[in-house]
Amino acid sequence: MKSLTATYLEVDLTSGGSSARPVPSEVVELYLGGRGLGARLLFDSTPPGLDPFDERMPIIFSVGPLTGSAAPQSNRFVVTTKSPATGAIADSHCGGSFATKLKKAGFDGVIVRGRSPRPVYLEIKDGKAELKDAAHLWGKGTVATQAALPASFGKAVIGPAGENRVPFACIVSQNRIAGRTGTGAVMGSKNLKAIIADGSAATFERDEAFKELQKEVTEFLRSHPMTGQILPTLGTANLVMTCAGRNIIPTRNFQKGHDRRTPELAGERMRDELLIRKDGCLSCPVKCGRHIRLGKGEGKGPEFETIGLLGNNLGIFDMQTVAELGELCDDLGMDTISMGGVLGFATELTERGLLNSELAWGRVEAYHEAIEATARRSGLGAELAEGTRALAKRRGGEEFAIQVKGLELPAYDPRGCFGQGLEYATNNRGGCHVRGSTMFLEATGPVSIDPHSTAGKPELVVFQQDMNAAVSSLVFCYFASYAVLPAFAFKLEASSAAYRLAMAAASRATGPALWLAMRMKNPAQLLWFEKFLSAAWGRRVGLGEFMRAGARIYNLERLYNLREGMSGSADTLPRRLLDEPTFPGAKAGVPLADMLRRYYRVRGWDSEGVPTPATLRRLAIRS
Amino acid sequence: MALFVPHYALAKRLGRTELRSEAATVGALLDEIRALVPPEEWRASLRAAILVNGRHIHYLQGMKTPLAADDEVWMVFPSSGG
Ligand code: SF4
Repeated sequence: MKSLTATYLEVDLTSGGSSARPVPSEVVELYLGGRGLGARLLFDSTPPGLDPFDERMPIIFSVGPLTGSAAPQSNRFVVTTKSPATGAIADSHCGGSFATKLKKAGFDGVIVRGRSPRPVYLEIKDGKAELKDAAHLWGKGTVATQAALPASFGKAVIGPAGENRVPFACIVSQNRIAGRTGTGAVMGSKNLKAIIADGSAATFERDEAFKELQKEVTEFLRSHPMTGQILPTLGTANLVMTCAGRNIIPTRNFQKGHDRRTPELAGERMRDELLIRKDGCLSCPVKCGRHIRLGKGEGKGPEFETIGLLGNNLGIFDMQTVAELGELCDDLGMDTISMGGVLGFATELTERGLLNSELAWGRVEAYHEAIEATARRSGLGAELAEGTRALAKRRGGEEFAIQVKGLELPAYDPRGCFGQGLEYATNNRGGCHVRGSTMFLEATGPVSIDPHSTAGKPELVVFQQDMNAAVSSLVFCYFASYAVLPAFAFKLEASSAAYRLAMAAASRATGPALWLAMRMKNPAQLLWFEKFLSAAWGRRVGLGEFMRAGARIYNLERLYNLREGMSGSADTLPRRLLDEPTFPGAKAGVPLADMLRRYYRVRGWDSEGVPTPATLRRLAIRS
Repeated sequence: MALFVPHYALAKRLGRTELRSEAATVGALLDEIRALVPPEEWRASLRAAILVNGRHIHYLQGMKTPLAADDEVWMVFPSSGG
């Protein structure tokens, strides 16, 4: 059997010391890597109630068991800490080359604690760590910072927003972003501007069987309509038209589900009018990133979330303008989803006379200035920089403050996908869509499990969340999971009998089938994820073991949140999304209460949302 | 009159991003649109989801779904990402 250990580099910024920390194989076997190991390490190494900016708070960078193997979509890293935005567990994922470079430097992760007395960056090269002066980088944007660091290294850097502890500050690697939950602010609180890594260690031994599997999965992803055609040709912006048609794209702070002008932001238009080339993460055959023409030359094409929150939500319908606002956020080091959410909320506050500002729907200059000011915490920016939840506490409007557990919501309005609403309410990191992406099965994908029904949704959400926890602990890109639906589903004619049959079956059978599946110790290998993990570990891993690991990771994160004082009462949605209908004939928004009760039961939690002792035993979780 | 928003390729073919129609049902509206494009181009549209005011017609009355004056009918293809 191959070695299952993982080796982290531990660095104390206060003392300047560092050492290697092996993680025992029994822990790796239970928590896989990436997100799972990060959660276990965070849980075990912090006392309850530690403030995210306390110097003892670790910020943990983890790669996965397949990193460096060139398995498709495996070259990503996860950042884990406590979120300054939510007070819950933070984990944020990122592509680029940093993950592979860190592995080549000899580590599966880095745990950084302490606080440097002055700005530094951490250089990791061939098993050695060195703190270097970053005075010349402090205050610089993420683009200039990366340019000033040695070219051959993989980099993870923060911008001014991270330095200024903006709770939705992100970490940037090349032009990929660990966007959500404010990990950049924790890095900034430590006076750590960047981590760079390089080395020549062997990363992964690939035998013939592995190469065959790699080829097979790459070909599969290339041939699948979602990962081989839709995402590569349109990027994530492929979602714009669908979400507009579905009436679920945020519009004026979620007052509506689309705008007549939304089609101006369609991914198809970006492809036809602006696209220069595709872009993406190392060893990914999908390449969902975009590089487009901009007014000033060229740059990064906006992701769907950026289009949804910084574009449509704010009444901005010019793709190049949205791209420029997105690039500004990236350079300042701020999450575009949260920034767009805060600006939408602040604009509505202004509209209602609760905030004195220049913000108004479509007023690009005002938004541009507000983004700059937020990163620097100057003027109005000082208030915006606290995030939507804090702004609502200060100015009012809590019922239309679009956040869950303190994290601003992404660009799928759950009033048109109830399962996604349940997912938002229960996600361990707060209002996030990539902890399960239930909306794909309800609204945006080729099948549509009745988005306005609650039937089967608790089971579906639990299944999706557990699968996501396992996949993102490997650390694979979750977009691969969109290829799980068979290709023929994309070819069905929407008014055909076959489609009607498939829809009826999906709507009725999903709940019971998943309930059963989650209780089985399924030894079969149905997806490529378990096959790759088996190759990494040198022993067979079945779907049952893989999904149980996902459930274990999910429950451990929940235990962390409970320990930090976040109870089941935080599993909710903003009042606007519960009460205000956006669909003709509807009397309210998301019927959350019924789904939540059932969700707790499916999870094996008590009525307060606490995992029962039996659940912890079943999943072998030590709390 | 209901508003019809075609998917991107169809909009290009029609030269318009939206159309108005007095059709009484979804089926009648689609018949009107189909008459405007060559059959081989229409074939690709059959895989698109038809949404009335954001709801898939599968969960309404299919092609018989009645249309009222302010209704919006969209045609969209499956998508994903995040
Ligand atoms: S699909 Fe996109 S985000 Fe995922 S690994 Fe590939 S390029 Fe990166």
